[in-house]
Amino acid sequence: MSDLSESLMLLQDVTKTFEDGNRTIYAVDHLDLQIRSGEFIALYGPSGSGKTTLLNLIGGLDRPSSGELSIGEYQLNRMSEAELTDLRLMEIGFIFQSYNLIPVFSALENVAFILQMQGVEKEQALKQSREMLHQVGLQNMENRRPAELSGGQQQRVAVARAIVSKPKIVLADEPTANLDSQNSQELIDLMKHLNQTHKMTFVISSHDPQVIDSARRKIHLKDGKIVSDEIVSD
Amino acid sequence: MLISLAWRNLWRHRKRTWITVAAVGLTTLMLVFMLSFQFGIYDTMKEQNLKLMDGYAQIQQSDFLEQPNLEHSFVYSDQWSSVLDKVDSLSAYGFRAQTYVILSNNADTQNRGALIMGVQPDKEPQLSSLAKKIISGRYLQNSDDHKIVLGKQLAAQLRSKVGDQVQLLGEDRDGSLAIDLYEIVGIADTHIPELNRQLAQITLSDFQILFAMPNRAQQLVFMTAEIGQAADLKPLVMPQLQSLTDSDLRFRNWQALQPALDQAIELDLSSAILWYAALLLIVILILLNTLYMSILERQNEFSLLNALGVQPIQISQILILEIVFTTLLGLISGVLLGMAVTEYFIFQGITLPGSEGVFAQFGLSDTLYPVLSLLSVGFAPAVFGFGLILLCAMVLFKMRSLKPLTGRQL
Repeated sequence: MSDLSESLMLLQDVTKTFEDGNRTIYAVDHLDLQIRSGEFIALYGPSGSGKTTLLNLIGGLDRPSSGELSIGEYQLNRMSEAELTDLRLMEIGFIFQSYNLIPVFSALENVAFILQMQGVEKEQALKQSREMLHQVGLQNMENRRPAELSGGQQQRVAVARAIVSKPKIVLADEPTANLDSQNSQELIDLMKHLNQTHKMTFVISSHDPQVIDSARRKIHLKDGKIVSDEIVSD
Repeated sequence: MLISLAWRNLWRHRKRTWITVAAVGLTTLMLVFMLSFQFGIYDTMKEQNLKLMDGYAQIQQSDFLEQPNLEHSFVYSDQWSSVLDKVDSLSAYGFRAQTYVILSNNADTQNRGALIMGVQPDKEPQLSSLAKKIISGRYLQNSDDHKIVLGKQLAAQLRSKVGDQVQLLGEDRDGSLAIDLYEIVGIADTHIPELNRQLAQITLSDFQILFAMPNRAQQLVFMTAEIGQAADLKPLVMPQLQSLTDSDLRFRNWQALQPALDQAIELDLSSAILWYAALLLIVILILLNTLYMSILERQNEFSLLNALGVQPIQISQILILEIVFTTLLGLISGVLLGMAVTEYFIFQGITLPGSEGVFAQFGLSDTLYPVLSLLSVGFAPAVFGFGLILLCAMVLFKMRSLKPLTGRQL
């Protein structure tokens, strides 16, 4: 077990249940987890194992039924909806399976949107976003709208949007699910590169062996519980 | 950023946006024109009714309106003219007196009750359209002595024509018998049978002699360039004229002179406004439905924005801006087009074929002219403004329960 002072995120006895008729389903079952700053984690397991539910809890998109959950000094389970929304804006980056870019904005505007919502001046936001698009290899496509980009390119824009504000943690749910293997590998390489260069923490939920193999920490989930938590040494 | 997002969102579904803009625009256009047309009819009714006899305003002896008899008259002098001539907005004024009499034809075979009016022939053509409605003979002149103008039906009932004499029998201000002979110099057709049956005019000087009313009149009739200017005359003339006479004077605007016309217009306008408001309400409900469907349809989009860290109140702002843009586009185009169409008909006039007879009964010409007013231009925007508040309230209500995207939705 690592030193708690390095801890970025701490889950203690976290449970998330859903009611299905008279049955209570434990999507996350009394789970303890510590995520350290700069980690590159893959959550894997069969469908229904609780990967996505866990990711939702970590991202402040959902609330635990019981247990304690914190990111840095923030106690997620004690925050209001408005505070959680602010936390997502300021501290968490999301990469979605189906990209979920804003269709009426160009690639550059999609990336700058988060910064501007954070209150960064427009010119500064565009400058930072341009640099970020350059880093993800889309320097010539900043004015294209999502519909004018390929799936791989759209996911790169989504990555740029997720990391442009230097969040504490980036969460990705099945980011390669809609990509071919070549684009998947490029995306994984990009995320690993950003993880190494920016020391940014990535938590990726995936079925994709390419993603799981590339992670330095692999957490295997089954029935809402951690079956194995393996750290691969460099 | 939010403004830009809202504006661009509008054009994601161009057809839907244009249909909504067209619904707002066409309704606004129609209402601007319809209300202007209605105000045009009202103005024509007021103008033609008031120009026929009453003028746009009057000064009367205080009890004359309730009891129009010779007792309720006022004394005037030449000084009044020096006061009135200084009022720029006054285009014409003149004194009148009136009473009920019995007229008989020369052979004394026919008798009829009539409203005999004493008028100033040189002033009257600017105050009343009667001089233009002479169908036989001529109108009165200042130099006339014992001459009379009769309404068409009254002349027919007396079986008299221009050049014939009629005998006038009445009671003067002192209660004595007033009787004299008058030569018919003109017959007028006002197109209002009731008026044609009792109309008789002589010069005011003849009237004052016959009815023992030296320097007395019952009405001081005013005309201004616009009917709206008449109400402003009161503070300009009343204090000074009152100081020149012992008689108790009252200023009467057109609503006091023609209360039935005023009430008819009020009633008609009220019912029209109700109908138009109902029409607008239907359009607003359609917009409400479109917006509701749009919110449901775009639930994932809003939840995504919320997941990214956009507060529900900011998402509401985006939606409200979209609604405001759409409504403003419709309102601006509707108001401008409505004004353009109305202006065209203000210039051209609107003739309703086959309705000449109906309009003539009310003294209206068969060509009507719409009138643009603040109410005709502002009514639809005001009601849509109210509708906007409803729409915004619905948006805020729906967004209260917004949740961020979760699970595989991501």
